[in-house]
Amino acid sequence: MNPCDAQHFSVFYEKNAQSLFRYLYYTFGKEAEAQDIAQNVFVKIWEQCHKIDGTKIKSLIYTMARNEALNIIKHEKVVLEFSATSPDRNNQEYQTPEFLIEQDEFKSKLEKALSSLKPQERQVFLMNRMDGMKYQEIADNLGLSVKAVEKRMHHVLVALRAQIKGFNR
Amino acid sequence: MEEQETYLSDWLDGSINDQALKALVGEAEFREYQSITTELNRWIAPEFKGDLTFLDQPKKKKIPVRALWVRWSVAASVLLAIGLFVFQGFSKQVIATTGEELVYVLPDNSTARLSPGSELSFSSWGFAWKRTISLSGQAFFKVAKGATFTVESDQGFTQVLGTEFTVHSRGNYYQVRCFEGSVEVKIDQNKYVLAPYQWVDNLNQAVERFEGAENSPLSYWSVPLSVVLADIEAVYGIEIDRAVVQPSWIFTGKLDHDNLNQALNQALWPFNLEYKFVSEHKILLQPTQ
Repeated sequence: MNPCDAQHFSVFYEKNAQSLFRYLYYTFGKEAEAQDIAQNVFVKIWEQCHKIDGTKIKSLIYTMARNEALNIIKHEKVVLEFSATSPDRNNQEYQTPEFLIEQDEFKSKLEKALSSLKPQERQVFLMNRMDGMKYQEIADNLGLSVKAVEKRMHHVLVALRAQIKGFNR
Repeated sequence: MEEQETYLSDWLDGSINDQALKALVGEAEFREYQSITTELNRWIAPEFKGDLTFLDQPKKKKIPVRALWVRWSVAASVLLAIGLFVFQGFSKQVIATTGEELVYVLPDNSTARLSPGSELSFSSWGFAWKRTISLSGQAFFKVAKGATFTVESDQGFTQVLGTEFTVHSRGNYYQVRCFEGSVEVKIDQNKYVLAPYQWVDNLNQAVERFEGAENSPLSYWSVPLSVVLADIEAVYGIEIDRAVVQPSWIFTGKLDHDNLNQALNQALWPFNLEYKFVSEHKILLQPTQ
């Protein structure tokens, strides 16, 4: 693509802005900062479009976002929060107070377990699980091998299961 | 051995089905994995709220470098060169050792904040006229108003009036960032005049803007990773085997100066590198698995 062409740029933005923002949120857990950084990355690309190699632009935005975030976001404990769709209203079994409470508890345990993961494992896992990104695409965006992505996916699920078991004890 | 296995990632992307995973891990463990993925399916991540209105605004223009400064500075350099021969005073040395940060007040009330593992020297009599300092390592200068103030290193030299700037000279690398006033930098045969928030180094040899970075030790704008690692060595008194580091890897950001592990993580993570201690003071870098 030609990053100086407004048409090309808009298409690229529509396709990638959401994913880039999510990547930042999954990694650093700060929503407001992630919004600003993702937007700024695209503004910078647009302003300096003539310097940018259109073929490498996808991994470039991830690198820029990561560097910017490390500059701005302090190393603190990551707190991730997700909203959730309500359970199936037509199925009586899923409407009992016991079920709803249990589901709520499980959600906060899983959020806590995710927050305690290494950022580079959590980001890969959530990009795949929440945004449906393929391993190959994650690997390309973050400059990793597919094998590395697969190892992280495996390890995260092992770690999450162990954490949640730990909370239950 | 478990780290080498990826059957869970195969299951997550559908390469193996539920039955196959059950056969591998058993019914109970399978259910636990499934409860995690089912719960995640119900979740909704926050939405990106940016927009494209910036496409309609005119782009920022680069700040032009003023020719007058250059001419003035050339004149100043000539005077300074003469001054250098006239005043060869007794040398005073200031050293910030490994792990120590040091603020030194020069005879004219200018201050130099030395990062750990840095060294400066100047002529103790005649400094009032000459104001020339030799530096190796990194220092942030706040210069009192007055005659030209010069910082020399092996790779280049920097001249200023009243201003604030950082000189970073480590090994063969040389970078100057200007925070206030104007700074003239000479690298090889070329001269660069920096306005506030501009920087230049001896790799790119072009004046560019930087943003928001602090003028504190271990804060970097577009510096080769190998230079950053050399600073970490000086600050923490360790040795880093950095055979895997590519010359093209450039770091921007700020590192902790009182927590080695944190600093290493901050520096290495963007490049997907990990570190391990091979002995108490020696660290080996390797790609993250």
